[in-house]
Formats: sequence, structure tokens, C-alpha cells
Amino acid sequence: MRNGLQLFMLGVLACAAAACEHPIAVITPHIEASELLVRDTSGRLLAQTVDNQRWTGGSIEVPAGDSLPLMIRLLDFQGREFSLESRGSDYSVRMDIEQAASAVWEPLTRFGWLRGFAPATTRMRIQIWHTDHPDFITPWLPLTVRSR
Amino acid sequence: MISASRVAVLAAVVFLAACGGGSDTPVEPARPTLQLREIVITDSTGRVLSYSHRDHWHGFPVVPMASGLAVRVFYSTDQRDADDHDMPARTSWITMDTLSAEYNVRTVISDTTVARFSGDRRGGLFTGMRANSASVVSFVVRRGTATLFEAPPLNFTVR
Repeated sequence: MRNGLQLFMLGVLACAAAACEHPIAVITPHIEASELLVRDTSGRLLAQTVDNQRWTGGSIEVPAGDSLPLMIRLLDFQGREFSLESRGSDYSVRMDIEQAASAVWEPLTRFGWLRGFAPATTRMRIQIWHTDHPDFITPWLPLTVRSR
Repeated sequence: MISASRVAVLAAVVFLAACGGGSDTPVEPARPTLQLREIVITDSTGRVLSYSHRDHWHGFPVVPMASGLAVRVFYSTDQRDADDHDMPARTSWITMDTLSAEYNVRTVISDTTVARFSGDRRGGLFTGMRANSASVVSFVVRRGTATLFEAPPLNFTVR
């Protein structure tokens, strides 16, 4: 009798699980980062956030009609640098550029191109996206798109 | 020993709890069956100029001031993973010709002193208005008056 009851309850639980419309998904954790670094593809540091409140290292410059390859890296709370790729494929780098026509960010695997289109003195900020929401947003960083 | 009535009550509770808030969840209106994911822009010869990938584009058109730029617009129902930046497979491309007339495309250039666009839902012509300038263009696909899909703004230049 007890075995029968246990089997019945297992059946109930299986039906309950199957009845739920919400699929079971593997949820990756949010990015836990203290700072963001902007490097060129040789590894040279171009700019870094400080307490993610301001930037050190100056502004970013790109000529109009040209492109600047950039790598975005992060520091964890122990000060260790890591890449987004090391945390899986659910994260991506986005850039807000205030004067959208002046430049654009084209992400690729492990790095991206900052493409200059029209001369402008503007600002950019970097967002680390985790599927459908930002996990990390930097302060605004001055961006200059220079005439060629 | 658990009585049959207690088992029945327990089973009912488990069923109700299985999907928390089920009765409170608003019922979504029926969604259109066509799920456009990406846009591919080619020139008149079929050469790919630009394709969207989720929140960004790969490839940026250059509009010659003298001749303008004739483009065709394709749509893809497939979407690559966030870390896969390849172009949508050609087998997934569709054109608006294959869809009923209620599907239409609005093409909006943010600064029409830079360039203008004239065309239909299959493509059209960018005409440069100011040399050595840049702007962004948006493609919005609608079914009737309902927006089905909006690609991220596409940067382009006029030379």
C-alpha cells in the first residue's frame, strides 16, 4: 500500500512538472565585476574605470573613416582581470554613443571594432549585457572622432 | 497511514502550486506567425553590404554621392548566437515579395540632409545629399500598423 502511494505521489509530481509552461533553463550568474578595462588588441591599456564612478587614462580617439580594435576586460573583486569569453556565451559588450551617427561599436569574438564615421566630440559608455539585461554599465567616457 | 482524501487534497495543492501565479498571468494576444530576426542588405548585384546581428550590425554601407546606392533588403527568420557573428545562412533569407501586401517596411534616415531613401518593401535607393557626412537608418517591419520587427539603427556614410 505504501509503495503504491509513493508511486502515485511520484506520478503527481511528474504531472505537475510537465504541466508547468515554464521551461527549465540553465541560468548563468550575473557578471560580478568591480572595474572595466579598455585595451587595444596589443594589450595596451587605453582607459579603466575607477570604482566604476569615473575613468582614468583619458579619452578614446578614432579617425573618421577608420576603425580602432578594442578588447574589453573586467576586474573581479579580488582585482583579477578576466574576459567575458571565460564566463560563457551569455554575455556581450554593447556601447552607447551619444552622437550615434559619429561612431559605432561592432563586436566580434574576443574583441570589437570601434568604427569612426563622422568627426565629433562625444561620449561613450560600455555595457556588459547578460542575455536580456545589463549587468554592468560604465560611466561616460569622452570619445573623439577626428577628421582624417 | 494517509487517507485517500488527504492524498487527493495534496495532489490538488501540488497541481495548483506547479505554476505559481498561473491565473494571474495576463493572457498575451495572439502573436503573428512570422518571426523576423535579422536583416540583410545587399547591393543590386547581390553583394552583401550589411547584416544585423541582434543589437548591432556587421558591415556599413557607403553611399557614393554621384550615383547613390541601390540596395535590396532581405530578412532572416534565424538568429545566430550572441557570440556567433557570421552572416545569417542564405537559406534562411526571405524577401517581402513572398509575403502578403499587409507586410510593409518603413525606412527612416535620422538626418535627411545627409541622404534620402526611396523605395518599397523589397529595397530602394539611397541618394546622398551631403558628401563626407554620416547618419543612421532604421528599418521597421510592420504588419498593417503593428510593428513586427525593428532592426538596430544602421550607420552609413556618404562619400
